[in-house]
Amino acid sequence: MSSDRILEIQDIVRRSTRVHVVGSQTKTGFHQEVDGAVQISTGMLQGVVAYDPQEFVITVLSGTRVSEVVDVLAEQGQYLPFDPLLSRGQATIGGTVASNAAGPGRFRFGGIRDFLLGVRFVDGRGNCIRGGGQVVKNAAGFDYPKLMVGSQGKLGLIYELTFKVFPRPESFATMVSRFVDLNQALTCMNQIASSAMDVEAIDLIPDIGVGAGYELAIRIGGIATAIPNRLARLQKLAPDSRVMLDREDASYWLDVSSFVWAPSASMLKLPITAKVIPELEQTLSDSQVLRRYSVAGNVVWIASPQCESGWSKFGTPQVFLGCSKESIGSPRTGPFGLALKRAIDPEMKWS
Amino acid sequence: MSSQFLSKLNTIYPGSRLLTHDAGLVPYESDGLTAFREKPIAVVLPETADEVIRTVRCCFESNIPFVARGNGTSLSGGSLPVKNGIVISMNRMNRILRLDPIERLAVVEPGVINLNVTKAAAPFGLLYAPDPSSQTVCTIGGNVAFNSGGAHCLKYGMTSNHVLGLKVVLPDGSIDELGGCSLESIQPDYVGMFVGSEGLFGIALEITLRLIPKPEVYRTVMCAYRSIKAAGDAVSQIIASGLLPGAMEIMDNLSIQAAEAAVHPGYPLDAAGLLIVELEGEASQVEAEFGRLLPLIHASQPYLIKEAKDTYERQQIWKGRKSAFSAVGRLSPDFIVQDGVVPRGRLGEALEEIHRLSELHGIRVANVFHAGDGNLHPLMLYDGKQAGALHRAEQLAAEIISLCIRFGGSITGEHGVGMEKRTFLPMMYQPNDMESMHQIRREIDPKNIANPGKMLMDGEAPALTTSGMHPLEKAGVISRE
Repeated sequence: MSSDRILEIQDIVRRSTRVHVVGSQTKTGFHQEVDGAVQISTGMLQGVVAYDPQEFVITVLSGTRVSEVVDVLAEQGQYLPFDPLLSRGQATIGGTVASNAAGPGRFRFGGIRDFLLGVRFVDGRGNCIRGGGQVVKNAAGFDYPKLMVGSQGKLGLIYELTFKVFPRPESFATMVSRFVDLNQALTCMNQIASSAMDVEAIDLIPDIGVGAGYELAIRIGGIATAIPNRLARLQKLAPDSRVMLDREDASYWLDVSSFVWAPSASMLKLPITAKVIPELEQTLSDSQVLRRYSVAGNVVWIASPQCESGWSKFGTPQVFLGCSKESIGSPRTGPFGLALKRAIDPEMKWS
Repeated sequence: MSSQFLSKLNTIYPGSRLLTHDAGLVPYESDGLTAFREKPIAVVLPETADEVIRTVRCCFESNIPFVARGNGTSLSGGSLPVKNGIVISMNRMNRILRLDPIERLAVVEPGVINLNVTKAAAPFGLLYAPDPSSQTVCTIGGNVAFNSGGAHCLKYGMTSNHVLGLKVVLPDGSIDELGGCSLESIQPDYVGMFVGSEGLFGIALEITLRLIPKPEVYRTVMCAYRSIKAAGDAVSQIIASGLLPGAMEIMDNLSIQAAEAAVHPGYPLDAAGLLIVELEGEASQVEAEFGRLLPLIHASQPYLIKEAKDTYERQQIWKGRKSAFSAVGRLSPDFIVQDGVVPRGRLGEALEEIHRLSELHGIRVANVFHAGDGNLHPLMLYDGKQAGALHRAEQLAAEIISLCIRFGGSITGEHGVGMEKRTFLPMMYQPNDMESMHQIRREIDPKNIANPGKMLMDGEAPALTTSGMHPLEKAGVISRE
């Protein structure tokens, strides 16, 4: 059935002047009305194509829900180490790749780019293209899988994805520490991120309000018997802390990656490095906006409907959830990106 | 045409950094794949990014092909000169421009040697993860062009997974900056697309590398088996248990013999298969993992188990492994090495088939491989002076590559396609996929001057010659892994 659907998609692309792909539309910031574009859904492209736990490789159709992929892997004690965002709802695995929606847990082993081994997609000519491979190591040909990460449907419709997966740590624990002072929190964050302690996630969460402080949430995972020892070691570095285990730990991080901490808000994503946080905080703390620094200060999620002018020097944020794009714009594409677009989609059909 | 072009180059470079005479050009005729040779019309030695940019623009205006080259360790002929073209030698651009221990990154020029990044990062407790066997001599620019691997790819990935940002000059002389300093991005992953493009997209001028904390402890164990299949089965058991070792390597008897003779790492000479497993990470976690690993290893019934008791013993075990190829090379005047990948579960089958083909063609094959990720390294030994020997070795190599494709793997895990495997790429991909790659190349390099003829079949192939070891290899500086 999926092969019929792909033939149909190829046909639509060939017949249309503009095409637009959608999954479950959970990442509302990516919604756009394109004049005269034919909307194509990945909804019919469902299911696991191949999964061999021994090979650490799974191949799925792009319209498959992330939650389904997570469940299939969990049955075999494996997981997607890039920690997909919004994994509990309707979000599709194709949309996750196209929007580069990796979560806090990507700190440990890497993001989507580091775990996507192979792709199949329909390009702007309506051709089916395969890039990458089905094995964990491959250096043959151009690396289309990486190009598709964050491509937002503008280079084609991804219909099949092959991921590298890992054994899931049998046990997790999270320590949340309080700091009055930003510099102390940052020092602790950087010290742990640069240390030989193997950490799954490190997020920094500013409180909102007068005299507000900072929380540092640090998650570790591994063999259960080693966890207490490792927690004790972390607590020496961050004394004012509480610990969450098992269900509490799991539900805390699910809430984080479902954006429960910023209900009904718009969400902007801004890639940064930890060094700019003090300056960024001066701007953001005044505006009292909800925000969360994730992946040891490599990205800040800002619950704001618009981009304040004061942030512009830190880069152009991406609208991930809600609000209109017009006020924000998108990052400049250089000659390399433009040439790739011309080659893959010469008539600029995919938008 | 050529003299006009050379006088243009003369305006960029002083005579000492523009080589046009035979004696100066000879060292650049070949790279780690010594079966190919081609003399460039000139070699330039830029010292700044600006000189590289001006050189590329000059090539573009004059339709002269170019190839950038580091230390010429490519095993796929990637840095082989292009006929009637120039070599841009990047060795002098070897500065580490910035190393930031808090952001955990290093910004380097392409001529920086791989191991020097880790050396510079070591005082901060950090390291640069990709560790090809030639890491003491290969350059980061070459690693980027060919997406080099190493022994730790299953857990840490390849070069591409450790490059955050690139400043590049495209084949038409335009400049672009891809990626940045953050681990996160909101654009398509242009960095990932550029890495591994084998010089077809231009030249990287500045490379931002991700550094990672050095593991707190390593636990390295070496196990000797009576059959290579038993070593392979042990790997399957370890994987099935949910452990994620940083490295798992297997060597066959011929490789063991050669490594032992060359560097005396203390390998058991009578083993049919030697397995090296290494766990690394935070001390208490690794101890717990090691407690699970040992019973699995005992159950796999090796006749000898040796744990590295200290750093010295660990280094000895690795020294033997990393020197295996140059060591095996000493057994024979000539050899070809390949790096195809098969699904891990089919390693045993692949090795049996390689053994059968080896006997069929009368070519000895030594096997060393990254067992964790199914990356084979069959080393085919032959004597180029014997009539037809090269041809038979190549035929065997071709059959092994076909086997990797048939098993659902890849023709190359880490050496790249280059000259060597370009005829095989269309066997791994469909005509549509190949055409898409050509379309991309044409858009980015409309004049077909950036390392033409590598990866994609559209250039003139120089004739195959028989020749011995690379000079650096003879000196024991590099090895063919």
